[in-house]
Amino acid sequence: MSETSVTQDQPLVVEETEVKPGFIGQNVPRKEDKRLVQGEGVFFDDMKRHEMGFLHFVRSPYAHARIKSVDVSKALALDGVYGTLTSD
Amino acid sequence: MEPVTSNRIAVTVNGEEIEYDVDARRLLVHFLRDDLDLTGSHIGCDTGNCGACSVIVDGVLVKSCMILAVQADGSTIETVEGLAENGELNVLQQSFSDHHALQCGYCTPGMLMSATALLRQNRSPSDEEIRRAIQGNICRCTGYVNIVEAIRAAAQ
Repeated sequence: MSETSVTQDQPLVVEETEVKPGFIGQNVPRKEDKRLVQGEGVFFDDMKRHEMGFLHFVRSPYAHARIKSVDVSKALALDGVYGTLTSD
Repeated sequence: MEPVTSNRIAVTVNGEEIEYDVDARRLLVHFLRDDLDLTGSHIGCDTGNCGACSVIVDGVLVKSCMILAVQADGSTIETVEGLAENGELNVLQQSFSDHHALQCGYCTPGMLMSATALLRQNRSPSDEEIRRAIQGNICRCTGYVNIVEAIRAAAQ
């Protein structure tokens, strides 16, 4: 059995010792602020990768129809198009 | 006649003179972010509501998603990247950090530009005036209390 036992007659008393300097109750300066207040934070839209492009979704102009095929030839013929992706 | 789609503009951005060919339809914020790589000005909404893209054009606070780059031709533009001097935070930036006026930092560039424009016009604004000045900037993290405190402290 443990040597210390806490009963109603013997409540656990923690002696308050000298307060050590720490973070409790302090305003802690943040490390990330310096870049953020200079506009140097890198958010997702701020990232640039080599040959990064834009994605464009083309939706069916018909509300209720069966898609038999998707013709991407015109899209591929456009200047600057990296590629197309269909369910085929 | 062929429609003119591209225009050469000459602007001064943060003290640097720049000439650039821009599409007539290009927004100022896209010109700054994508062409000049000044990604400090953020796009939060693209509709003029959030104020994250705020810059100062010829001394006037402007939401850069609300004007075209060609409209800024010949003007002097200040962005958040131009606030610090030689890598040292200016009083306002330091105050934002000291008063915990930012968490994620997304709205901060716009807040800083709005506050800068305010403090140039009004050296000792009241809380009411500060709140009015940043009414076009939306912050979704901290709430506005610490931002107002930071601006008030920077004014002193």
